Amino acid sequence: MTTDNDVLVVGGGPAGITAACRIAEAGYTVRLCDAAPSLGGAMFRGASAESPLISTEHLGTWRDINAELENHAASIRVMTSTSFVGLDSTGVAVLKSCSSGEAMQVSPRAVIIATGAIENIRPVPGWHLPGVVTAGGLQVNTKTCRTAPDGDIIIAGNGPLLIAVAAQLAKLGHPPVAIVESGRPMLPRLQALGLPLAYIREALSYYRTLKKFRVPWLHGAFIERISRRDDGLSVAIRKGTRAIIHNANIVALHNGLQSNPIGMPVENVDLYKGIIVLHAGDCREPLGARAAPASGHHAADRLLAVLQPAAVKPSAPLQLRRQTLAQARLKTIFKPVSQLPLHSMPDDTVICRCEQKTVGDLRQLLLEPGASAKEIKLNGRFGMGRCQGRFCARSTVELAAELTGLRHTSESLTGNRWPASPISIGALARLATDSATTESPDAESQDV
Amino acid sequence: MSGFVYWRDRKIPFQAGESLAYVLLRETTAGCGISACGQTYGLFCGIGACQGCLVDVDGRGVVEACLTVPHDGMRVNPVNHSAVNNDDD
Repeated sequence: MTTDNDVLVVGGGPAGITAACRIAEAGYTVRLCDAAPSLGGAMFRGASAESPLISTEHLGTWRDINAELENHAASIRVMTSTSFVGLDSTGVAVLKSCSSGEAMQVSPRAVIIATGAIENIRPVPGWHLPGVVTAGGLQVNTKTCRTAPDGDIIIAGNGPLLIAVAAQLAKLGHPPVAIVESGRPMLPRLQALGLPLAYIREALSYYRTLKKFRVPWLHGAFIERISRRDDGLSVAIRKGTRAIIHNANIVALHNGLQSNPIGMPVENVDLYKGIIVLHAGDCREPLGARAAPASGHHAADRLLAVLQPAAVKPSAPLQLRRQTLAQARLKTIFKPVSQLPLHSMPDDTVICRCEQKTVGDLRQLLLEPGASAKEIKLNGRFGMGRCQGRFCARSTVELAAELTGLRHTSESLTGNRWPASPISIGALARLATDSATTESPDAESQDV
Repeated sequence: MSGFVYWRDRKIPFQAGESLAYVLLRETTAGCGISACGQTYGLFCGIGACQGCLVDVDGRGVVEACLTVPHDGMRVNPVNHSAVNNDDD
């Protein structure tokens, strides 16, 4: 077992790095791991002055964050391509190398979870077909390689990310053939005026790019069905009484962001209740890139208030409050006005991608009244698959409520057990027999 | 780094910064394998959360293609579910 760094920070985006720097500044050593091959998180992956995809504002933020990281390089040990598997009841954290699959265990005094949000994806008939991706997933990839995928792209769903991704694809010379937005974001213009200036500036820059490349932005529209066609996809779009059919090779879906606590240890700031755990950034509450550094800083302060109660008194940062208000306003602006309720989707619509369970399957299961969340999971296999319910729990409980009037929480379906990411039994067994080994085979040692 | 990976013995190019899942999205319109439950694998969430892009790399075992950096000569194959002893397969 590693004697180890004082604090483990999981997730090397703006929140995680800021937290790590603040903790290092207070005199502690930090291990900062990220599952991706480079730091930055979804926001700053591939960010540099050469990238056409990052604004001056965000590039400035990223430079500041990196400069801080550089300042504290001696006390922060960065491990990329390393995912967090889980934290056991004795306070041992298991990490996994994404390249070799091998595990290592560490026992820090505290863990800060800053793994970012996951996307809400509202099911549409055909969303299980290859070529259907999430808009954020597409974005993270285009950011790192700075090329757009070939073929026609349709971006659909709801929220400001749709136009951000569309504008970025356009800047790479490959504008999407259409954006299908289920809200009417241009109607409540007055709402938009209440947004912080940086948001309005960013929105205008996307809007100008979309105008320049003549990308159709359909408001109050939704996808009725995605079907296979020859080598690609056929997308049926509904806008009021109008039906539109588009061919596409890629359909990118997105319906906002949600926190991502599944498989993660819950927050604990009580020294007498085991290891200290704090959540920071979008995995705690999706407030976006402008709030993330403040959230990381705040988590570090809350941790330091436990470790050095005399020295640190955390206060709720103003920046977090401002961003919470701004995000709430954005939600109002992008409120969906036209989308099908789940129960009116065809029976063959997949709800749970991993287990391929459909609207019809849940309808059948719920013919018997009074099913508990546990029964929906164990008998129906909704949320039983590899994603642990991350992409179906919300829709499953929403559809169940529509069908029966009985409202379960997503958490009652998913539960919250580690591992947060999969690990082979072999790697765990080697960890057990090899507990004298203090470092994973492919990690260099700086602090042993 | 750029180079070539072998998808089912077919040589396909990759560019610097591309994840393996992104390379496969470009090169395979039919996805990159099928799970025991019938899910077609391929890039979806891009951040390792959905587990929907599992492939076998260099015969070493199952990885998320979206978290995998391709290297020249990498051998990529669909996951052979009959050979994997997962309790849900």
